[in-house]
Amino acid sequence: MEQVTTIQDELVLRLRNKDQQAFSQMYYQYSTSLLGVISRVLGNDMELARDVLQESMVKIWNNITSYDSSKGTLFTWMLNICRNMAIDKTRSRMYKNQQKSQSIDTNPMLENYLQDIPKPETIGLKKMLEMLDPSQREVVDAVYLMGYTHVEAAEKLSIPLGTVKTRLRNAILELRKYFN
Amino acid sequence: MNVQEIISSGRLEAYVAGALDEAEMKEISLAAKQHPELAAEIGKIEAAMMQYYAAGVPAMNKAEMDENLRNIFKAEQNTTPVYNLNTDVKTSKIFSISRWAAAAMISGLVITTALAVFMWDQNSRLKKDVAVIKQQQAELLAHNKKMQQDSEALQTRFEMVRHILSKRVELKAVSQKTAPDGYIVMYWNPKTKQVLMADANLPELPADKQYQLWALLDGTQVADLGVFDVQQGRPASAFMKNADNAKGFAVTIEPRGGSKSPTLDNLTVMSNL
Repeated sequence: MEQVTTIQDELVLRLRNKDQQAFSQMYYQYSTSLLGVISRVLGNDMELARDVLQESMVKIWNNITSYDSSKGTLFTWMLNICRNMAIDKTRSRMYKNQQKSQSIDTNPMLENYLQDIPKPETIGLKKMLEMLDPSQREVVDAVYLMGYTHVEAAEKLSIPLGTVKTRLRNAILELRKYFN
Repeated sequence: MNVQEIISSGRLEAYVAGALDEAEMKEISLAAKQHPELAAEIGKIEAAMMQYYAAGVPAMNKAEMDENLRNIFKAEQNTTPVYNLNTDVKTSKIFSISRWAAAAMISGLVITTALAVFMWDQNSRLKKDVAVIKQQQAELLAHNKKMQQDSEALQTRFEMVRHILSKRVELKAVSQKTAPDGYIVMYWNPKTKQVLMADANLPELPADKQYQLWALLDGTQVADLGVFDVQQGRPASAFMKNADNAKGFAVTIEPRGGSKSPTLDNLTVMSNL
């Protein structure tokens, strides 16, 4: 079967040629979403999130030629870079905090992204959090913010694998209805 | 596995998150390239998730994004591209930080140097100004002192002249030889004994000569009242030595420094009391 050439493919081609205009176009399109992901990983620390986004974008631009579309979409690739960068930040921050207070019992990763305390400056956050009920949200966050596979999410959240799959799919279907 | 099965399996949602193992990621990517409806489904999931996470943060404005882009491209220009996911960003980060630090240091240095030069220039200008002002002040003070002295001298002379007992004495030419039109106007106060030269019309003398004023006393007695020069037709001295019991006054030309007794041949002007 013949492969479909999409606008996305063309953008990727230009990006692979280190076309700054193409990168800018991509940046306009994706940066706010990626900032949203980073911010959620960092427990809604917007200031740090902006720095991490910038660091991630530098990394993305520097490594754009290594993007391999056979391993996932451009968004997925960028999401992975941003997420890993943000998680690294929470680890180093956790490490610092850990040295101060000795609280090491809780899982820092989960605690961070499940922390749903909206700050007054992020008005959209409260609205966003209300889009999904907490049980759906924890599955979506585990997969998107932590990059957990279905199996890992099931383990971390102590819920059956089938439930993870269903909840994830239903949650995203709900979001699609909401946005489309 | 057909397209519908993949769609309903819930794997696409994990695929967009990048949360499948490598083999599964490849499998779905390949399938999406072959099946547009699969690609469309992935696109819809992606769009929803992008909007979902974007909703949680304030949207970045164009200016902010352009600024970030400039910095991204700038950061890259300053690094040799190293296509290693683990080290690349760290390298560029360090480079960009040191570059910023260097830029800050250089601009700091430039500003400080410019400021120092400016200050130095200002300082030397001010120093010159201060020197000029000090000079002017010294001149003014000197002038002021002189004015005060002159004023005091005039005051003293005036007091002497207007004193009721002061006598105005005119000395007139006695010799055709020395100064035919010569005269001297002076004041003498017999009580205070002060003698003041007020005016004179006498020729200037050679440098080795001076005029000498004498008080004529009883008989042939004379008293030395001091020597004086004439400059531009006027006596250079004002008050002479005090004179007591003078019957008259006379001026002779004497060697510079004066003589003990008048050289009568050189008698120039003389008064009658």
